[in-house]
Amino acid sequence: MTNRILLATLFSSIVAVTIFLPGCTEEDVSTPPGIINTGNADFTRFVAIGNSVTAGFQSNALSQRDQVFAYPNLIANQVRTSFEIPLIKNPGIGNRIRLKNLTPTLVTEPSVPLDPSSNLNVALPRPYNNLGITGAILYDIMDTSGASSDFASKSIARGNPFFALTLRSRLFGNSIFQQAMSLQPTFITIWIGNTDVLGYAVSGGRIGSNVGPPYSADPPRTKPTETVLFSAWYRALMDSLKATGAGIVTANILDVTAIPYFTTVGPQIRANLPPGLYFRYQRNGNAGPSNPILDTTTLSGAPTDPLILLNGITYAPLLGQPTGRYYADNGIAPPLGIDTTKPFGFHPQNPWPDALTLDADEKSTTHAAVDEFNSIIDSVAANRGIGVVDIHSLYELARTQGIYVQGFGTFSSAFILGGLFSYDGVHPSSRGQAILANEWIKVINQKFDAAIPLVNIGSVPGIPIGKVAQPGSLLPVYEGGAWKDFVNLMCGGEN
Amino acid sequence: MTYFLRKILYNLCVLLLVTPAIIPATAQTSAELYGRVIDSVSSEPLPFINVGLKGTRLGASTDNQGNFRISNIPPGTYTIVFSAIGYAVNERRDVVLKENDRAQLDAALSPSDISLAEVSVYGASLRRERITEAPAAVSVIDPAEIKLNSTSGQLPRLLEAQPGVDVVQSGIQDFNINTRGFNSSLNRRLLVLMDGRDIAIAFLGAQEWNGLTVPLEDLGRLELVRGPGSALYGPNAFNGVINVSTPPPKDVLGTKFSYSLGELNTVRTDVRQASILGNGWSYKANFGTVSSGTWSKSRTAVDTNAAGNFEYAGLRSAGIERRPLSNEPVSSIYGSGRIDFDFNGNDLVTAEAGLSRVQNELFVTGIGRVQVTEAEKPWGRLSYNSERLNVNLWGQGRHSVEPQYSLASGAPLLETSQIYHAEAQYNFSPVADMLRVIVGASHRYYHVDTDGTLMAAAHYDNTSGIFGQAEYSPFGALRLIAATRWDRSTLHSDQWSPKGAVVWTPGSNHSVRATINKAFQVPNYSEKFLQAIAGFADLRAFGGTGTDPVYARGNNGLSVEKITGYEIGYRGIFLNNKLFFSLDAYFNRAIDFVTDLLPGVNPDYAFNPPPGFPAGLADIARANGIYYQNGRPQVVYSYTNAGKVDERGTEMGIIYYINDELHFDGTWTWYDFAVKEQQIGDILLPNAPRHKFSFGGTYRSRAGYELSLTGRNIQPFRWAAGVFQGDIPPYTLLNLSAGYQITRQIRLNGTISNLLNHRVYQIFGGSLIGRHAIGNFTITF
Repeated sequence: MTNRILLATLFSSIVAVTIFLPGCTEEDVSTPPGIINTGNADFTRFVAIGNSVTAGFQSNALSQRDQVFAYPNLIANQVRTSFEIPLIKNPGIGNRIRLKNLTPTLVTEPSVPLDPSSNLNVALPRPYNNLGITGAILYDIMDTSGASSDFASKSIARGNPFFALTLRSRLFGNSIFQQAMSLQPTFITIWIGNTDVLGYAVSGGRIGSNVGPPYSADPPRTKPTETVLFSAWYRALMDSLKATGAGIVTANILDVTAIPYFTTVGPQIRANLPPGLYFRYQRNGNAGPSNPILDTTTLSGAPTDPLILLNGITYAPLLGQPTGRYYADNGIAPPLGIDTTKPFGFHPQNPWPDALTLDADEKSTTHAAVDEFNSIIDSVAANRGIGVVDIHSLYELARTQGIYVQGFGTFSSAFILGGLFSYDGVHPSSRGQAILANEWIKVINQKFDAAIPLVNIGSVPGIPIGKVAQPGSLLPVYEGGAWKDFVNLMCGGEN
Repeated sequence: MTYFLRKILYNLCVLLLVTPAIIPATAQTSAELYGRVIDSVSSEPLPFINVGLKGTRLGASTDNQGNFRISNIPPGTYTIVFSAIGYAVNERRDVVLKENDRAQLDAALSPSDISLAEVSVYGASLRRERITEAPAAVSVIDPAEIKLNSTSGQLPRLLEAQPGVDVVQSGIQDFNINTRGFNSSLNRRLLVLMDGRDIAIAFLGAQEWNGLTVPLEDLGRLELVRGPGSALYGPNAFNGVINVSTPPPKDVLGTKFSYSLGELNTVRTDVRQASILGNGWSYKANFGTVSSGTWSKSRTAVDTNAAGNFEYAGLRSAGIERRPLSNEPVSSIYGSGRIDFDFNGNDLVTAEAGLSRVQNELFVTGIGRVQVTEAEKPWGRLSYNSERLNVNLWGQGRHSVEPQYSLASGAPLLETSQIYHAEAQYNFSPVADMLRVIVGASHRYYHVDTDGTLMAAAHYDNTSGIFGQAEYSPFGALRLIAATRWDRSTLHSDQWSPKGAVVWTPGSNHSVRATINKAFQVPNYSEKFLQAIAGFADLRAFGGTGTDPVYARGNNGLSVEKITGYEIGYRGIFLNNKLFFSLDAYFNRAIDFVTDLLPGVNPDYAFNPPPGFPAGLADIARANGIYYQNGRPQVVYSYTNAGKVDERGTEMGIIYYINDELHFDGTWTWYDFAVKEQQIGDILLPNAPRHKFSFGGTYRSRAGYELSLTGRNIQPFRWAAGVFQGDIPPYTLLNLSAGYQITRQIRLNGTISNLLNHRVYQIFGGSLIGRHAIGNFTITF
């Protein structure tokens, strides 16, 4: 019973059965009227390089419904330039998460096949303008591996279909960078580096993008990308881009620990922890007498550690029950020393799993990487006269006081209700993308003496959820599992 | 009762006081022809016989006493033609008329041949013309047919077997008549005029069929013009127009007493008295009552059947009603009086007034069923008719004596409304026989008050229109018609409604026409100003208490619904005047439908989240119509204009006269539609079947027996009107009518609607309608 109450207050509210959720709409963004003053910027051939946010990945899928609202698409719309993208059929690749009702119940929709026929723009005989690839890290921009197989082998190696799907053919160029070059761009936005630390964080600090020795002592792919490599690659990339003569704007990266993926479930567990009981979670590896790396916390009071990952939402209601459902769901044998007949999350022998937790050490590792990457981005860009969009501060503002937009309320980092993030808790919603686009436009306007109008937030859809609210459970639940694939994508493949 | 009579008399007096104000002054230089037409076999006077001057457009039709009068005939020599259905054409040659002549010419017609070409209609171009030449798809129900089928007492039933018509019954007195798609509960896309008076309820715009103040058998004729008609009729002639004309006193002289008894404890009594007072004065008075049981059932929680349903499956999803149905009979009582003053045979002044009181009728509406407890409907009309100038002034009201109740919520609803209308039209022919022009203007004033039950305040509105029609006939077989109307109102933006038509009549037996029409429908008071609590929602997520109000509110920013129609039609008469065939095909584009009640569509209640209000929650709030009033959340459902629908259809009608005593008729109506645009959450359905068939046979013996069997077959279709949404299964219904004129004074009539007692629901949400047999005894002296 405790556990039922535990998460009932996740959204602190019940909405009557008469409440409907907004239907999905396929709206077009209204193009601003009149002549657009782009100043010294030339958007004739506009290319966007980046990762999932640039691609318009949203709610755990890449889908045509959301792709058209990715920030580079919105910028292209404001400056009225042609902007080709790989347009993925509804409901998209991935398992798109949809809010079914305000219980809240989140459901996942089936993925369309990982097949060229799912790309409605597959026949475009040139590279796409939007070269944002979900799961791409900085290294991937210049990486030519997999080019010989038209990037199919790279996609397989990374467990990420979007390399092959976006790049399609080596004839367009044998890397993301080369495909951008073959478009002879006049203007480039590049926003890269988030995944170099985000992958580490969303996996609960288990899987990373570091190369390992000799660049660091850590085993390969267990930590964020090494700073020394990030610095070298970033400088090389910016030099290469600068050499094209195109206008360039870049952006720094956000504090990935301040997104709903990390801030939603923990506080609720904390607020509902029965008095006298300790929340026991696994820090690293196996728990048990032979491996006592196990932390115990009352989770009471101010401490925010550990951060509980959003994919833990499925297991939070099971706290206190003798269950091994996490292991069963993920097809892994309970590690040595785990006894699933003990109360889940409360007993030292059945702790909250490491993969659903970002503990204090992992969080500092993450923070350190974010800070270091951002100082590299700032200095490299500054030395080359490249404008930097301060995404980090924008998200910090959203987290602390929110971003108020007249007529639309305050956008914040709160899950679902904050409006800034989609239902995967990581990627922006369409209106979140519009807010991002406006930050880019402000920097472009300033750096290039332009007067590009800002995107009207109302011209992009609100939280894209559909269908009728059902009466029923008060527990927030995900129906269906999507998170395994999600973590894989974000951290470049688990295996 | 004395109060009731007093009210009628008062209304009449008011009208009479203003009558002498209109004194026509005419100086006749032209000739006049008058006479009487009788049946050569029975010597009975023949009403509605066409009398024409060959080679001119001059003509008239006989009244119920067989009399006719044609005035303003230029002096000359003419051939006079007498013609009517079922009679041989009678021609009198070389009739010489001199200046100021008043010549009498009587005729006796032999009942043999059939001349369908001589059926005349008024409503297609606001003047009498042969039906074959009418620039619109028109159906006519003539007095004989009305007489035979009037025992039911229900006007909509007269139209059931006409091509292109949807008549659906949802209760003993709740009918919806429509044509060409987009029917609804409380349909108002068809304008219904009784002697030029729009009989719709002011608040809702729909008709209350049991509130008429004349019995059905006293209606002179009924015409249905299908297709958009705002150019001639102004607002709300969206899908078509029904014109009902009642006969003047001199056509129905004497005293008539009529008594009907039938199933469902139906009892009906009608009394009429009409006399000529001399010096041009004549009067008519009607009085009657009707009362009957009902098929309708309560739908409160205790009224479900074993399966948990109401009368049929699917009704429950529309909600359980809070208030049970009243068990009192559905009844009405009416009285009316009319006084005519005939100046000189050409100019007629009519003053009439009436009052009806209706009780316990049940309406199916988009927001659930409503039962009228008791309402009173006074009306008055004053008209002046001459050959050139027609003036019609009328007023009517509706007043809830007892509240009507929303059965869904149990809330009492009150309506007090008045409509005053003035209209004048003038016609002239600048080029005789080639160009005819009609010009006119109208003004209407509405006052609608619901005593705060449905609208926050009373509303006063004015609406005016000017219109003109020109008919040009470069040569006999071709007629070009252009009409236009301009409407300005406090209820809607200025509307311009044009019409164009070409009619080609290669011979008197065939005609082809093409028309373009535009029309519009004004949102009703409910859609514009409704303010009612529709329920409660749990809005704690939005800072509410958990029992937060859900309001249904009108949208004063609504625009009119618009329709543009393109139409072609053919009418032909074959087999030596025995077969009448009509085929009409149309394409309509309708836009800006007023939607169902939807959340978040009314800009007056647009939620503007304050700083700090979570943006994601604001999206959900907005989509759910949440609005903050004094910091408290509420849900607002309202209306908006949306949608674009293309409609097409064909309507075929055949009448075949085996001989002058027996005829058969059949119709086939096909309707198809495509929704091009639609508001999210709204359901746009035409509420009409794709195919519809009707068939009938009528036998009228010269010995006074009459028998008619009609039927219609409705193919299945889906119905959606507000809360009521579901499938209408296919059905076939038969009606049987019989009459016997025992003596000249005494007549027996009987009608069985739904002969086989197929219990069907004809609209979703309506009651299961069964057989209704009624017998009638009428004595005239």
